[in-house]
Amino acid sequence: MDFSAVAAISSSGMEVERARLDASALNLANVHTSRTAEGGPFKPLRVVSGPAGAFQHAFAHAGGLLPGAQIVGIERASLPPRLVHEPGHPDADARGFVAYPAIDGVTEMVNIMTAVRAYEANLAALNAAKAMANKALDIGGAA
Amino acid sequence: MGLGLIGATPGFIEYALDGLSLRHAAIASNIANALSPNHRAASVSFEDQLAAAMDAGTQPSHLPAPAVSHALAPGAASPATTETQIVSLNQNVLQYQALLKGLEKYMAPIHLALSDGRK
Repeated sequence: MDFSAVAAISSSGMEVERARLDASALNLANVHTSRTAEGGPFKPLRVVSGPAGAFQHAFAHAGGLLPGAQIVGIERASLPPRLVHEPGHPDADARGFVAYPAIDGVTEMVNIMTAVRAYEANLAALNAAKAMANKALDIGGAA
Repeated sequence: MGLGLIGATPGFIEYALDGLSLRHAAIASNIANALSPNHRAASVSFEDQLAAAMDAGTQPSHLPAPAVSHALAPGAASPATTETQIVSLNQNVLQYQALLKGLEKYMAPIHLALSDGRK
């Protein structure tokens, strides 16, 4: 088997899940960010993944039919902000409401767990490829 | 390639090993794209071609390349799909290693002959 091509598929999957994890971690860190450089509350990040382009990984034996994954885009969710009544807050508007990001801790935790599980699955695929390639090296050696 | 000089069996084993390697690439691709929207699961088929060729007495070098096919509809991006792929992955590894073991046993008489019958 072409180990480096198959390893490239699995490692691309791991990179994508790593990015997904980073995005959720960033969202959780900014749960109370009511003011950003662009003005307004922090907008939550969402990673959108898709199949990798044929030029990114060379799959000579499959002709590009078995792609790895890549990050297609990192979108900012445009959900309406959470309004909390805090009249003394520096970012409060005229009616005393502060706009906090619409980041739900439960949703982000679920995203983190999903990303970690997917990362582990890609790692399992990589280890399986390694085991198969190593076993192939033993042909004729133990006879 | 060169294993044909001792019969057709190693050629068939090679073909099966190639098919299993391609299947592993398909499983790895499905796992990597488990959370990609609208991804269609890929699968590899070669067992039918292999069985037909063995029945018909075709030479291994004349076998068609293992075929990669994609599911007709994108599956839902859910963890259940990944679990199915992991089970297929384990099965694939076992089949690959069993084939390698079989090839090794098949080649053992040659090794014996090369070492003049000495163990």
